[in-house]
Amino acid sequence: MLEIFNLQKELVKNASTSGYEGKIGRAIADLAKPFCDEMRIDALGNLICHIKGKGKRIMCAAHMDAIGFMARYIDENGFIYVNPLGGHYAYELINTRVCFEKVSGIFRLCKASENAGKTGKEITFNDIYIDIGARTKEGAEKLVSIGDTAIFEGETVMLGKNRIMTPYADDLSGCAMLLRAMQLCNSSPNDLYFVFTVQEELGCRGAKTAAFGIEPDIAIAVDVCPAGDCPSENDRHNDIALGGGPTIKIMDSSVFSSVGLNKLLKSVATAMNIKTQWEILTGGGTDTSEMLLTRDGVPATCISIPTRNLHMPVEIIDIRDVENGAQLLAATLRSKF
Amino acid sequence: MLNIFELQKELVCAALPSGLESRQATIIKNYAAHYCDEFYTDALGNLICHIKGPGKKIMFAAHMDVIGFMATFIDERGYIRFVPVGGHTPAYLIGATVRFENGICGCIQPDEKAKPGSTVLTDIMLQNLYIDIGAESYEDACSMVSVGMYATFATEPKMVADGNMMTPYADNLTSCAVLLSAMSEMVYPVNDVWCVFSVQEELGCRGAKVAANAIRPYMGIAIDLTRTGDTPSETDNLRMTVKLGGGPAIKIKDSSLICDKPVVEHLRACAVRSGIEYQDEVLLAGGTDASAMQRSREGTLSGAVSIPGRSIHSPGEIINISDAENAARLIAAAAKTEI
Repeated sequence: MLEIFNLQKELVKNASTSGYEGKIGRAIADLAKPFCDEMRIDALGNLICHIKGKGKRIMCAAHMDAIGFMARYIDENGFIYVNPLGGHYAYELINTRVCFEKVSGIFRLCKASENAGKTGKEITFNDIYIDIGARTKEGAEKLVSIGDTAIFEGETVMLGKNRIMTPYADDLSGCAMLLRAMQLCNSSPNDLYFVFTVQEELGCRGAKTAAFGIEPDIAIAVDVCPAGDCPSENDRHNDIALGGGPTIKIMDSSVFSSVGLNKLLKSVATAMNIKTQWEILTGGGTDTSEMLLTRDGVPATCISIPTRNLHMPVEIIDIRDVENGAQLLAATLRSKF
Repeated sequence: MLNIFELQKELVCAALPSGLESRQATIIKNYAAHYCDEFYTDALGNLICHIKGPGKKIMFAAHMDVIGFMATFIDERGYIRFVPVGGHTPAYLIGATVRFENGICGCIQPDEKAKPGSTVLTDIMLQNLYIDIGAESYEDACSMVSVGMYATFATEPKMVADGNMMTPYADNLTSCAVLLSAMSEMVYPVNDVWCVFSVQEELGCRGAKVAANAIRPYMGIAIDLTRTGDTPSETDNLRMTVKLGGGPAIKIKDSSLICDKPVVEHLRACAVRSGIEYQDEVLLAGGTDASAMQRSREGTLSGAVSIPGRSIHSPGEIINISDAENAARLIAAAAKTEI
């Protein structure tokens, strides 16, 4: 059995930024191979795994790209300025460790910006830089070139018995859920496509072309959603709790999910005695919207993993939510439509 | 010479904040025992090592306590509130991973009152931060962490570019490693050498004060970190010339003391004679154990050797390994040269 914690650890080791998903794609392909009939990688880099069946064609998608950074300027003393790849708040990154391919570094706030009395949201990517310990521009350029990407450097650790703290729960935990669901779907009356998509964090670009190619009858995304059970600003946005079960998306700012499909998921969950939570977000977006709007329209929804501290290197999730999400997804995929 | 990076790794895993230094003290003691004639631990926890010599007493002090956090309150959902131990900038703690003394991990997050997006960063207050250990309830949290427990930064040392090390607690575990390394070179010194691994420096140089009273040194030299002026957009009022990789710094002044001229001259002469490149340090803010030694009893000639470090008190301080190695050589030379 695929175990979620170990799976997440393995995936984090291979985490790749949007647009450069080769490494994570190969890692996932190795893990997915025993569970599907055939697999291919499309022009954008989406990994498409197929479990053949005669019934409805169902596409499931979890994005395998991770948010990160791209070096854009190295100053005369070897300090590196970056562009964000995906949604980051610059102020949250101060003292955050990252790694380029050859060297680690840490984000710092420029002294002048610190003394300027700026609020968090006034801090931009011109105010922060990565210190890799270089003392000269030449020293830095031996290890980092313009265009090189960096990701969070952080470990996946157990918190208590059921929870993990990890970079890239978004959406490597979604990929873990999808892999686990594939393992549970070794035979199905339906024609199943499990897609590990690229460039979701830059605007769901991979899911768009993958869905166009697959032409699914039904589509289900697997992603993460913000939990509202912590004393942070999110608190009053929703009451989604870690350990309360996977969520079924009703809406976010990019999509209104298929009502019929949500009813089906809920009835499967009830039959299996799996707790679920309804997800209504004021912001955010996932591959769901691109699949829903494919060709002449596809009924689509999303199963999400409640997550704290989204887009930080210390995302916290409950592994039971991931396992239960996989059970729910697999049971749904195996039901007759 | 000892391997500074390996020693730092060993010390960082064990270190606990001011007031509870016994874990790092044990590791340091195991090394120090090989390099001194006698050692003892005093009432406050200072580890005092004596290398006998015929001359005047010279005392070296590297504080072995680190900054950290202490749990003060666990709320009904299992989130932990804390107070700082030593100096922290609250806004920069957001997202930091921490480890309690019993190994339980968590991360620091802002509560709904912190509003880091719309608050001037430096106005964010520590009371609006909490530690999330992933507890499922108050009871679950209490089974993992109790009020009064210490936590430290949970990140590991790592080598980065240009022979530099990125690590939590270069301040001041690296100085402890440096002093140990220097001790290994101090056989049969002409001076009577006392090497002290002091406690509670981060709370106001408390350990060094009593250690100096007990030892009554003729000269006292602290080993600690100093800031650098080699990072982007240094503002004019905090400009300093010290940089990473320029060699150990010989302190002239900080906000806690004006170093005594004989000490500065002794250190400079030792550096020149040993061919060690050094930097002149005038630090505008901050203090060290040197101030406590200077004002011990009726007064002691005092100064300091500093290791330049970027972003001190962050979980990713960066220091240069050869600066640290040369600091060790300088200290060994200062011990062995008659004062």
